[in-house]
Amino acid sequence: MDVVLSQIVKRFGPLAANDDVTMRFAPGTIHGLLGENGAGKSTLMRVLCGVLAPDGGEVVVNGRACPGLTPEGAGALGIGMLSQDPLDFPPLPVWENFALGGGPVLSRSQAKARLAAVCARMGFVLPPDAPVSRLTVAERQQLELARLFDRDVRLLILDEPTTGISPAQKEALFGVLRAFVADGERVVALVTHKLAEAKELCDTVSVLRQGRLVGSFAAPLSTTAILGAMFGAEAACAVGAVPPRPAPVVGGEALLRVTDAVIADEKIVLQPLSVAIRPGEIVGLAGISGGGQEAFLRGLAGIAPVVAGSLAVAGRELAGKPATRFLNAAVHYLPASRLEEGLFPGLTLLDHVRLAFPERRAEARAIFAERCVGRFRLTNLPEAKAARLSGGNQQRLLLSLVPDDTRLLLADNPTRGLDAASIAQIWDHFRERAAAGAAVVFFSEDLDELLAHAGRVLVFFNRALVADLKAGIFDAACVGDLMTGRTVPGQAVA
Amino acid sequence: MSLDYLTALIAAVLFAAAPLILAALGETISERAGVINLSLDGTVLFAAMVAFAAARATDNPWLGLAAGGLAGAGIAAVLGVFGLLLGASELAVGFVLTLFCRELAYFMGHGQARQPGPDLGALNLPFLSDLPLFGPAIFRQSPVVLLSLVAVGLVWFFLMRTRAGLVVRAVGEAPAAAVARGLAVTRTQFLCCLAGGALGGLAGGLYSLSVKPGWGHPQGCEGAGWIALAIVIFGGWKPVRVALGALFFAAIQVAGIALQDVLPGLSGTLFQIAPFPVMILTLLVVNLRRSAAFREAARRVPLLGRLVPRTAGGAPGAIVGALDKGF
Repeated sequence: MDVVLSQIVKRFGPLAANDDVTMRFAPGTIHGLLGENGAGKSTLMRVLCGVLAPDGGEVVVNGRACPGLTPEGAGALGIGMLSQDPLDFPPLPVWENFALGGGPVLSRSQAKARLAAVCARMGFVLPPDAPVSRLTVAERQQLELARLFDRDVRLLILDEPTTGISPAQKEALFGVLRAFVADGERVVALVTHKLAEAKELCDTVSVLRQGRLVGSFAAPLSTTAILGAMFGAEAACAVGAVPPRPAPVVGGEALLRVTDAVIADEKIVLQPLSVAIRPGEIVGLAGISGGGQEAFLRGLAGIAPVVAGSLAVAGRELAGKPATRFLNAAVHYLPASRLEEGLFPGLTLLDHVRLAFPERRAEARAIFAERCVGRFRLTNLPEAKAARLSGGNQQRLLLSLVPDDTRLLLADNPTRGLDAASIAQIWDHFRERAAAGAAVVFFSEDLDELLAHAGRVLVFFNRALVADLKAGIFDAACVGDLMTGRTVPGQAVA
Repeated sequence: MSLDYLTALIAAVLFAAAPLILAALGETISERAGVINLSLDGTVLFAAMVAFAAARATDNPWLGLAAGGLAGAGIAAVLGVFGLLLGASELAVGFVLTLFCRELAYFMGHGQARQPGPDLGALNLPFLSDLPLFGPAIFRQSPVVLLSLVAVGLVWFFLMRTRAGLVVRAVGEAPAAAVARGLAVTRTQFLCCLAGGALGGLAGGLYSLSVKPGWGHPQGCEGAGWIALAIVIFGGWKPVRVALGALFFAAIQVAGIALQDVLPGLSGTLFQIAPFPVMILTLLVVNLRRSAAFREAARRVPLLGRLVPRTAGGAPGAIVGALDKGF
């Protein structure tokens, strides 16, 4: 199958998500689509599979233009997409999800037979009667792949498929993709922001920046050339420089002491766990979805109640206390959904400052100028509504509202969806805080980022803390195996 | 307590529950597809009037019942056009429709008030009605009981065992995923909204042609739609559980009446209002398992976990989305 995207333009209001993008997906190849978050990769792929109608340009399949492409039309042509967040029906069992494959709905016996056949062919193991909500991310991905393979997809689009799966599962997925294109006819389009993955898997690579195609490369792929295209020449060296990994902190009195605590979040209850964190540490939490690391963070923040055991910050017992007592103990939490949980979308930035520093309400403007603009380079007007902020500026605002005397800073996916400059600023800030004697505990879905910035890693699997690893003794493969339950903890615990 | 008395009690519960079951099943279909039809109470009342008027005009209660169903589908079509096709808030439209239908029903039904009219009569099936306990309660009484029980089976079969039902559940669970797989989301939702409205309309017909026969101001079925809406949540959007919820509510009502004979000292009003707080408390117990604190307690004392029923189940994804979106 030969697919050409010709001069695609897609606008959202004043923003051009895709601006005159032309690229070809040649038969028998794995084509990488690289770019930062927000570069327009996902938009382009949604145009390709008919979910979004382009404002200009056309999709040409096997030499024939396809105007007005719909998801059904794309499916009929053999274009199938594995989206970043699985587009499935979580409460329904596996076989029902499979039966709703995209064409005519299959009957129960048909669906089960064909599911078994595809699974046997691809080496997947999927229990047909289990609800999809109980599957792991990798299994949900396999279910989607099984559905697409069953529909005899010719062009398979994958949007950031390695987010949330372990390195071993990633290798298995890449093996499946290589086998998929081995017949010299089928095509894979792989959307990713990870250069290493593209280098490992792709035959050709296209790079998008700010909606425009800025470079195309064929194997062998050169790291510097691609980085230069992704971030612009001047940014490439800044991004390329690896920050020094913080040294593990030893000795000293623990700031946070958790003893046999049971944290009960809305959806999950964690196994009893004990851990101590000292001032100056930067602790990364590793785990796949459902592992419990987010609940742990929310428990430390006082949002999810500690229903048994003890949780003490600087010697003060806080288990079972309301979240305000945690705030008084200088514990601060940066939520992953910044706009929904962290900010008040309808209030102005100045209102946020007043809420954060209630006893200095009158000086809100001065505080805004000093903290938000001066220290965090926030470029918005103080009268702007929080809902208008970009992701990076939302995080800058949240960080600037964290008081200086914070002793325990908790961050859930602090860099998710941000541009490279904001990400660098956030890590610099965390390191400054740690150097000044605060402890930072964060969770990131990006394992490479996590390992690059953490001085110590706590690994969660299946609602339990399974390993506590000091810097220097962990690598991606070992953490990946622990967080997906492939390695039984015990020997790895330092 | 004699067997006859018990049979009479069962018959009374099934009879009182029949229209509630239909209305709640209709709302279940609608919400399983992701459409919240808040006009249900107005639909039941308006359809009750239409069914009674049509039955008088044609002198055929079954034609009247059909007219009630059509009226219900018509009101649902208004909600569908404004809420689904024109993008207005389905919550706001449904709410206003309820009030509008209520006024319209009393205005248009003025000429029917306190008039004699046909009703659906009573069944008397040979052999079946001689079965002990349930025989007379189902087969030797108003046909509405049999109708409602059959409807439970049909709706369950449709939703859980047919391909069309699978599409309905998928659309209600994750509309975005359904679009990506080429399912006709809006059409499915519109049809389910119509079907749900039709069942609500039939429920109205059951009231005015059998359970609370005739038409007057106020008609005896006022508020039934709101109860049905609550019962859908109570039943966790599962047809059989929803029907059990309706039966449970009817049972508390009948128990109130029966207890009035046993405890004549207590005020009758007490028994009239008792079902409502009992319903709220039951809802609390049914959903106890959702609370993390309870799960932690149940982990320590396993007996607790066994005493409390399994959670009824979560709301369909689209319903959660619509409630988040609000008005």
